[in-house]
Amino acid sequence: MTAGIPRRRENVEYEESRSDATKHRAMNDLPNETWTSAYLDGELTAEQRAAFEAWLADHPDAQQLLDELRSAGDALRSLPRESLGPEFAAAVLRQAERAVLLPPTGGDNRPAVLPARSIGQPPDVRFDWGRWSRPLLWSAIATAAALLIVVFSPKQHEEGMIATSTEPGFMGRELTEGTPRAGEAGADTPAVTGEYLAEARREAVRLSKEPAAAAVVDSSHLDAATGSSRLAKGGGIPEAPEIAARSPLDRNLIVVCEMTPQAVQHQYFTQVLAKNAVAVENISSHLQGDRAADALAAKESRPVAKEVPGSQPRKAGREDETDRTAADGYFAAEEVPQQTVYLVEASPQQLVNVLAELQNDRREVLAINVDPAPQIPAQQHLFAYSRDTDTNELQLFSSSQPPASAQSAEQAPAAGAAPMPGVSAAAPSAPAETKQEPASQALVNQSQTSVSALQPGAPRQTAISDAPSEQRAVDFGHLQNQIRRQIPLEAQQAILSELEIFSNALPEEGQKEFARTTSQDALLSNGRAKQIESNRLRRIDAVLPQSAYSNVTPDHRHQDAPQDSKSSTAAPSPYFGKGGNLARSQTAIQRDNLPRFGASANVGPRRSTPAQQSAGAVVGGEGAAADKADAKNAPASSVAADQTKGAGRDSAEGQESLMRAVFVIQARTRNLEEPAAPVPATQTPTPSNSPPE
Amino acid sequence: MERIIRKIEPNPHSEAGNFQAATSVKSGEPAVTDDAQLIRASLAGDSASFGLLVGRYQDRLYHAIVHVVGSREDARDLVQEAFLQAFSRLKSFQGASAFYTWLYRIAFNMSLSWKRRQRPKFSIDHARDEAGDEPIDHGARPEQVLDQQERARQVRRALAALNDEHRRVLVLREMEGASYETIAEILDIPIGTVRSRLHRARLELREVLREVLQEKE
Repeated sequence: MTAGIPRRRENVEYEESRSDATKHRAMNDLPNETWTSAYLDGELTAEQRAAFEAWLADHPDAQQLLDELRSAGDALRSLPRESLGPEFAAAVLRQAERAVLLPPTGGDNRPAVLPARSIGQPPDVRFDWGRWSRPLLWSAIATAAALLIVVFSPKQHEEGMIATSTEPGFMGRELTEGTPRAGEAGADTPAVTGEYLAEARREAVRLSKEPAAAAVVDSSHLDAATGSSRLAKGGGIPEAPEIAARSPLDRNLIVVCEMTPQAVQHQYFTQVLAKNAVAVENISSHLQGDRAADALAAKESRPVAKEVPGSQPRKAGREDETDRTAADGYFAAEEVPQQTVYLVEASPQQLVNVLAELQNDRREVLAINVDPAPQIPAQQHLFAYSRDTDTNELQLFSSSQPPASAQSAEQAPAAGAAPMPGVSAAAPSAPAETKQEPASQALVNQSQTSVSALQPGAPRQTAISDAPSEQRAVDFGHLQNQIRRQIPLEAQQAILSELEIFSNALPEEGQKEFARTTSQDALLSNGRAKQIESNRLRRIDAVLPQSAYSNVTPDHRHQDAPQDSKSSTAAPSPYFGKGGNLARSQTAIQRDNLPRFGASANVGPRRSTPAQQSAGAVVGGEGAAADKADAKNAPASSVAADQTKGAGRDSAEGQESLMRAVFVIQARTRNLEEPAAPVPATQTPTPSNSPPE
Repeated sequence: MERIIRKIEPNPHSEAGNFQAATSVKSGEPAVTDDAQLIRASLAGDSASFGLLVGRYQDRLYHAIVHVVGSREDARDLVQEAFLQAFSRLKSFQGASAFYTWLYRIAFNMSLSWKRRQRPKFSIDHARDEAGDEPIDHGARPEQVLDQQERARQVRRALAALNDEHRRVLVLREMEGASYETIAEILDIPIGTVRSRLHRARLELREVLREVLQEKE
């Protein structure tokens, strides 16, 4: 009975059936128990099946086993079907399209398609991402910035700055008077024209009018505001996939930093930049009267943005000046600047250092909000710098595009209403109407607090917040996640190590550390910079003595910035010229902090004062204390520089390490009397002990 | 393209056993052609076509992954990630195998990675908790409903008690109706291994089911 199964028998019936062709001819020749499963699954050939059935008749145990196995299979098949909701496909598609908007991660992970539309979207309204990606990028940046910087004044126009790394490979553009402007004959950037900018602006305005777009900005998904806000209507946008492996130029950050008015006035942030070899240049004068901006302003009469509720006195009736355009200037010249925008292009390590230094300064820095900026392909990053245009789009938006914020302000809840938790950061102008009323100041403060306080619905909003009791509500997890998303692995360690000081043992050790540093603050109240610098050297340089600076050498800089020397003869900056003690500080910093990067007279600001030329960087005056502190810490920095000189990285490597960040520096005062009630109850756990201030 | 999209509606009610029909190249069923067309349309820039592919296979894939990982939430994440990976790698899909097979392979590989990240092994109680209450057949009597729910819980517990290899091959065969060849392709094992592993998995399932039933009694 068992001999009837031929070995590798070729029969016609077997060949005719494809299913039979898939049967297993390599089984043992004789039927046995192991054939049971194949028999159940119909994986035996016809002859094997006949042979097995004959074998079963003689083996009742095998028959019982067959029945039990069949029953077990039936039990599995009887399980109710699990299913996902009908919205799942749309959610997947949204995320896939969002992934397309992000730069490719390289290799096969590159999105295969540029999605033209999503489910349910009519085919006649397909969105050409390739065409719109760049305008949407800048419109998103501008919208986000405009929502945050809702006050513009001539003074602030002058404060538009570009901070450029002194690292090799920076493709700076000259900002000389003879540089052709956008739209002018001779400009080789047809894309940066008034028409293009007008399109971008219209898109930004359109996005700002959409509730979904506002929600996107509110939830800090600024990249989604580039257009995926269209896709976000069905719900929240999921977290972005891992983007750590993207090319360096594809990383961007938007950092909103709230400082005390004194720190803003003393240009503390420029000091931080200068200490990290990031030169600052002022481009504001070129923006004024810019033809593209004027054309845009003439095309669309924009209502003026409402003022950020701040601590400094403001003029009444500001919100009524809705007929003024960007070209007119928004505020009186004597207005104290509240916000400043810095477009920084530097190495990730430099940005890490800048962020870490801001993080360390708990005296002047009240809040830091790190958000990912819109991501665009690398080839689109350099246009603003590498082309000989005189107009930076971001600055154009900043100077001539208040309507996004104005629209948002109009849509914001009226005075007295509770501010939208997440929108508060993006549209801080909501309670602006109440700023003249003392009774409403609490609302203003509440709104301000909600900007920096951690919101339950906006987990990525604020990394460091300033609680009303001056306690630090530090959500290290979120900040770490943001850093991991945006900063390459080798540079993450520095700032993450910084955070570990607090995050490992909050609240106990974190409180101790906090108390200790604040005590130092109290003791060194006259030498804040000394403490800052010592903290920086102790924490950052100890962690990253080489990786942070290894790709910066004087030789590289000289090789890669030949055009800077001629631009250094440009007109002096009116902004930096007003600082009485600028030259002294600059000299000190040049002598003490910058040597590790080499003298930067020829590579720093494109347009600088003579003092800046000698200093190599533009810094704000902080006084003799800062100078002494810098001088004291110079040896350590020099050691770090010496250690890194041997790294021998070429200039191309330095160029690859550039990264962009938009720093929005806002002035805000501490409000010690601010009650705890306005702050949402679902805060990140804060130290119970209020540290001494 | 619109004509194609209108013609191909996602079928959320796919049942087990359709695996062969959906993946068979020779069957000539519309689904095969539709998959290829949808993939071509997706590669041409029509992401909505990919959405249709998602809608077509999401439930079947989810049903399988739920029983592989034992958690609805994780299974949902895995399925979503699998579709995203498929979307990003669609250009590399050669069409040598069916899209569904390719998709399953992605998802099962991801579930392997997921499994390595899990600290505890598969927990029977966890699976039971995750499974929750069974869908109620409103046409059945209450005692029948309870029996069905209890039976489903027992089967889930038994499935969760299997080792990973056995559970995967059983899910593919018994729940998805995949052929040995397809299973071999998805799990990247020889076809003879599929057969032997499937037999051992059934034997183990029988034993575990017996234990579970005895626990109840």
